[in-house]
Amino acid sequence: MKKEVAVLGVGMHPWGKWPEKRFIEFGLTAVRNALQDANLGWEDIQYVAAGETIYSGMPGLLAGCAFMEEMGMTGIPVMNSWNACASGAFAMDAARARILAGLCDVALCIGMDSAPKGFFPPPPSRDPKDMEILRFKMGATNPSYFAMYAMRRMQNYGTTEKDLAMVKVKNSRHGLHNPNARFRKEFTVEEVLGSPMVSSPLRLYELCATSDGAAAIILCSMEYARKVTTHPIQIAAISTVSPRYPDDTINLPRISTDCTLNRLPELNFQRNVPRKAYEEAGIGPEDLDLAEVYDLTSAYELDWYEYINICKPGEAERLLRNEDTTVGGRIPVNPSGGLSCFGEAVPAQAIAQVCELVWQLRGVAGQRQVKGAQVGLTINMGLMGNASSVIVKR
Amino acid sequence: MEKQEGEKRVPIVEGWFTVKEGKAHLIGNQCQSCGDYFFPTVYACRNPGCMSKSLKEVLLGRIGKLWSFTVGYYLPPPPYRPKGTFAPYGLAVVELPREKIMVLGQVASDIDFGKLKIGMDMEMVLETLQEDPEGNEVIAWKWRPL
Repeated sequence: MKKEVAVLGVGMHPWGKWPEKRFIEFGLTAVRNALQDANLGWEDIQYVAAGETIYSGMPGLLAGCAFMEEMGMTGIPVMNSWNACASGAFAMDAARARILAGLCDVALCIGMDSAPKGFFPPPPSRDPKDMEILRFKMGATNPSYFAMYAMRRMQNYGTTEKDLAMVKVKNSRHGLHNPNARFRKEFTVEEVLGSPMVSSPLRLYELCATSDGAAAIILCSMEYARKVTTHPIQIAAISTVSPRYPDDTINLPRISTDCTLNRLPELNFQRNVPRKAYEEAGIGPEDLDLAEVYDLTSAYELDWYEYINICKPGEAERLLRNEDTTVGGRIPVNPSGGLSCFGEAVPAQAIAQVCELVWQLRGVAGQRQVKGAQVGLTINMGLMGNASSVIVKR
Repeated sequence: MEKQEGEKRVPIVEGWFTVKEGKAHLIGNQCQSCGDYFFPTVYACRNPGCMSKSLKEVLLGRIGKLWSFTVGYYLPPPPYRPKGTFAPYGLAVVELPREKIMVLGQVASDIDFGKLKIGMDMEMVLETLQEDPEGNEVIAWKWRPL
């Protein structure tokens, strides 16, 4: 069975910080842009899959429904999904399944957020053993976990503080040319190393901020796409995996790992998620022209080079230093500027990554364009190891 | 400061640790069928190939190797409630050699964080973690270099 669906249109609202605005306002702009891009009317959309936001009460939890109310209710089915940072990918997965099952031809996926400033706080809870609450009582914020992974990386591979700063420098040079990015400033290594330490060894400019913004994508069946375009851009894979027992990664929000006394993990989810995506698309890492990976921190971007298999474990720093992952290099990573320049608008980020790939594959990415881009991969990761990867090709 | 009447020391979660012969231990459980250990305790074995309901409560080893650590320099949001004014705090993940599980905890507050090194031996201690809204001292496990 053919598994491809086509991308008809993409749209975003620039990312930034507008505390006085509702998340829906960002969504309206993103969806209107996507409809215009697809040359469709609102009533052509047959299904909506929305990533939820957990910081705007009930309308946020029913983000798709709240959005429909504002955009104009058309009576179509609306699915709301919460999978933390992977929410947008799960929304695309649901829309794709609907299309492939023949239940609809044209579907909209949307993610929009209005995020609190600073560390993400835990949602209120009635669960006395809620690990999310417990870890915050201990001060184990999101950056704390990523800092401990970074410390391991430095120990294992000799990653230097300068390497971590260089990831930010690279991404800042990319994001400089992206009109939707929040931080459009070129950073130097000295500026990054001069920024305050948040969770050692990670500094403020090596961590991603919490942002407001939105991203939207319109997917359709290949039959529908061929009626309106000769060279449709295709979603070749959407991989969504969860960890497998025993998981020896100390995943947010866990405070312990599984026991590895009697059996070792076969494949951790970070390696499994791109592997499944490659398998589904029938390609390998050597076929990639670019990637948008989950650079929640500078160190984590380096880990992903290895997980997506564009280099061997311990070689990510060499790739970075050679400028292989800079636009113009062998395999540019985060040409959009990544989360480093966008910050996190949680339910939007997995969709925003696909928007970037679509612009790159169409060859309209301007000064951050990866020449001749034909195939790209994204990586996002929700809490509890709920990860996603999307492959887009033309 | 003297404790007001009614204010007391309370564990972060009831039943997660105990003191035996003057030494602090985490309380876990072990599957009687496949032998896997768990902390915190589980209702039934989480190994999908086992799923036995036969579990025995065990005291976990209190010494392990430092897998990684970090020092937090910014005040986390609630429910983090430092006792007194905020000071940088350490977090550590320690691997227990017998159980082969890793456990996250704060680093004991009297430690010079500059002395922490991946791979060093750490022992578990009980210490005040925070003051709850009722003024009780909340006690949790922490890790301390041996």
